[in-house]
Amino acid sequence: MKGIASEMYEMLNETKIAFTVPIFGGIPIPQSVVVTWGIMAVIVIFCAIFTRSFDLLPGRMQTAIEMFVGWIYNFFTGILGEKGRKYIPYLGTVLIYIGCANIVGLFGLTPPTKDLNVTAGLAIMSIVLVEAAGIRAKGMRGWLRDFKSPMPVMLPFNILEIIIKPLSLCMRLFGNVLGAFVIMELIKAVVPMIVPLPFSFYFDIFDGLLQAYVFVFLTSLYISEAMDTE
Amino acid sequence: MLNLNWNIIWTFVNIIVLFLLLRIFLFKPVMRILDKRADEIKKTIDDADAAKREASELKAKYSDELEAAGMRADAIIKEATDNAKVQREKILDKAKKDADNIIKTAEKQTELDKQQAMKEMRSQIADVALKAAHKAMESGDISENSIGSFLRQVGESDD
Repeated sequence: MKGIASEMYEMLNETKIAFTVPIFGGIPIPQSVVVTWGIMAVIVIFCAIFTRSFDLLPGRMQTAIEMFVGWIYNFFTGILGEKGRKYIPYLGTVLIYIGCANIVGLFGLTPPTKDLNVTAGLAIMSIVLVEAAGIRAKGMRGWLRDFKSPMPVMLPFNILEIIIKPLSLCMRLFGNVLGAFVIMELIKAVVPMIVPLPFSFYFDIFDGLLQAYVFVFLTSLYISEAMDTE
Repeated sequence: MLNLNWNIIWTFVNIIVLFLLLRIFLFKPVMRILDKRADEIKKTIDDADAAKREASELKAKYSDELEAAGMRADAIIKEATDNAKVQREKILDKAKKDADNIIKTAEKQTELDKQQAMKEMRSQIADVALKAAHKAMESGDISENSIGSFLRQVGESDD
């Protein structure tokens, strides 16, 4: 067991470098970024191919895509209301990206969400979006005044929330993916065949999609809260 | 993978690029087609509503017209019946009058004929009597028998 522990510790600590761009003295490209590029390429090409032939009378593929996008819009409109419609494409993008990133393990690739830089980046972007939505909805003064609500005593906690919210988003996603990864490695170390299969289905598909859902769900809740002018 | 370092910038760039690309290739086309379809459906429903309204208007108009036509037909029939009644009365009256006239004329004619005949008869009788008297005077025999035979002779020769 000591072997596995040290091996996993090493895996966790290293940043896997896929390749190095030979300019400016070499820019190292992490593996998660390369996988992200792959995911992006697949998603964008898929969308470009199928949305190009869109017609008023939909085919089977168009119906599926329309249902999916319609579901995204309904879901976020339910949380954000009509005034939050402009944030939906970003939230949808994050949902699709995290969902694909978590599932990509099925194809033998390392999920980018297992890189803390990716989840932290997503969480920071989320909190920027949340605060920007708050400022847009209430104006700078209203946004600043809200730090004292419901009473001035809450000021430090409200300020702390700016850090806590993205931290919890980041760590929830990262922790789930990392935990799934650790458990899968342990199961594979004990029983390398067949037994890991159902676990892989649970961790890679179910938990992966669930975490994508939770991430954007919480982000949209924060946005809705920030836009709430009472 | 536990290290948080400047590689986080890659995430920002990647997500923003993916967001922009998906907006162009996924969200905009899908929403455009959904809006277009919604418009189309709304238009179709509006058209159908307009057509329905028009049809019901036409129906009301036609039923009104039908009713008016029925009423007019009734009026025409009534008028015609009335006219026919009046006409019948007139014709009957005229026929009666004509018949009366004819009967009266016929009666008058008969009377005239009768008077004429009487007049002729009277003159003939006088004629015969005169001739018989003349014969009797010629023969000188004025017995009843001879006068009777004279009368018979004159009447036969006169006829």
